[in-house]
Amino acid sequence: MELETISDHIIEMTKANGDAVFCHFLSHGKTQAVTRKEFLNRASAFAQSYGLLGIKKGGVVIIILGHHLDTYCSFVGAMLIGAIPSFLPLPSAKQDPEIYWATHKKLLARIEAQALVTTREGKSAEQIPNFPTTKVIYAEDVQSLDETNYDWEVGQSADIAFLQHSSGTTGLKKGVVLTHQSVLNNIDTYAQVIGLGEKDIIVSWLPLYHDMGLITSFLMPMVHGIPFVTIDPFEWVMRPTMLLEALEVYRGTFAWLPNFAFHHIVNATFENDRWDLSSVRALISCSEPCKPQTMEEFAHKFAAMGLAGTALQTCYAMAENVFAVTQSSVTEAPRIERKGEVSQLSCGRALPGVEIKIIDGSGATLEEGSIGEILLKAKTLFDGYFKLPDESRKTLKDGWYSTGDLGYLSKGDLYVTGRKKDLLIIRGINFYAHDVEYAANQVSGLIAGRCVALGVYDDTSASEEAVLIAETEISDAVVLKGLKRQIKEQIFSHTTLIIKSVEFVPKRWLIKTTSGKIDRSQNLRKYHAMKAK
Amino acid sequence: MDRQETLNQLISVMGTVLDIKGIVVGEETNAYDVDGWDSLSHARFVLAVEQHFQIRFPGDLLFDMENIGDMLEAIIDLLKAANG
Repeated sequence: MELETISDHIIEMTKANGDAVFCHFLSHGKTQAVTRKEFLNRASAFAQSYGLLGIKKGGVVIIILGHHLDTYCSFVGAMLIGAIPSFLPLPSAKQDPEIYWATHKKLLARIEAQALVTTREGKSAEQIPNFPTTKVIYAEDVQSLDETNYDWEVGQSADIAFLQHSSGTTGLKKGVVLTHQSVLNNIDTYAQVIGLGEKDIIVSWLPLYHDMGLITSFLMPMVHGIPFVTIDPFEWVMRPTMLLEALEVYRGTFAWLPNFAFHHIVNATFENDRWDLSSVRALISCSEPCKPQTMEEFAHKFAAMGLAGTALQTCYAMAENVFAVTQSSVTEAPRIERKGEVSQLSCGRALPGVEIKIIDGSGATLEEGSIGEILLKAKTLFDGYFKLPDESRKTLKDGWYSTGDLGYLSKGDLYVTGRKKDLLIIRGINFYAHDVEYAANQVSGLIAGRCVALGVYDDTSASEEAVLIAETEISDAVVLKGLKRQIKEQIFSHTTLIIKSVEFVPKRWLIKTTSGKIDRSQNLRKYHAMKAK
Repeated sequence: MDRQETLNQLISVMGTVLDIKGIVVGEETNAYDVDGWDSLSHARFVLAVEQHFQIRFPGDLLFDMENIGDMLEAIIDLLKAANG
């Protein structure tokens, strides 16, 4: 029998062996092994609750929950009745709950969400507003079932499986539409490429509202019947070496992490710390530019603890293609190339069925080695953004998706060099904004991580000039003068770029997206507005 | 070790992780007062404090400490518990 949907897989696997471990749930020092049957039972309880509340096939169910088994169960529960689940992040401790819920109210209205699953726990719960058409379901009110129900109308392969919401201002978040067939296709291909097998165990601290956590560390193991170990993201930030402990205890074989996480783990490891990492097949860097020096530092730290020389791997992925676009070979270390003054780490080759091309500003395809925008075509590509037809048309043309990322192809490998607007072209020479900002961040006196390098067109030179906007709390003019000089020297010594001007701005001047990234286009607009005054 | 000595040691550990030059650190000091005191550096700070005082903060407390005074109270309680 062909299994058409994600839900079909968990139902059939539970029928085949309901006592097999579905996941190991880790929270505040406690561990809980959850069987497939227990998982499906709880997911069925959610499905039943949705049905009783009148949630229909195709209805959007928004899930805003923290690190809890119900987060997983409520998601699959929605799929069991053919509804469309989507995770959104909880408000952070520093966010104003009133503003958080006000913007979510607008988003839920725009996407016509039929249900919101959340919790009464936490300070923000008191601020949950009344939604005119969205039913609020508190996870703790959902009663468990005595018997597991296997008989659900889960739908067909072409149905929408879930929405993956982009980061960005809440009201403008775009829901990437993914069908069951796209998700299963991408997962199966990716599993084959990395050689995922029945003896593997995936360990993760990643949040589920991000595609990396959702696909690699929940849906892929679920569909392939592989247990996963899940750690609270908030707890992990405070105790990053928990990941290494879990890899040792559960003999974990795979984990996916963004670049900063490798660095964070290294920084949190003390001299006498030891873990047996010999079970690890791959720790895959993804979702942020993969930096060779970060990988080297990690490899150096953990080689003596059994970490294989080939264990550190790279991947290029995006929700618009479900997840993986490329993957480095898991049997050898990713290639490193010199590109100008910068060492570039390969993100590996395109997955089977994925075509990549690099184009210039006029849309012409570039030859190997030339940097341009990365476009991709695949049968696993998304079906547009939910209820945003204009946005969908802008990014999908003739079956090609414009990623907005810059990179180049070399000997079959993809190298990602930055975002389209991250590139500063100063008198014909390319500089990466990330590198300029990295250099500036080495200077003490600036608020860490709070600066942005922008290319600003200058009439007098008829070229772009580089401007660095940096937040500082220093107001003494003499100190600022010295600081400016230090920044320019530091950037020049790192990149050979001479910055035209450094603009100091007060704390919290720069605009960040909800995922914490500096928003370049918004800050460029704000900079022009400041200068126009 | 009295409260003032514990606070002095805590501030000394803080200086190894966070840039507190030019800042007068007291019990009211919190993340907004110190450049670069974000969630990642906070984690490094907590780990350095644990190693220095040979204690381990309970998981739920990690997210409830809002300033240096809260951290100091927690250290004093944990040291008391450890010394019986």
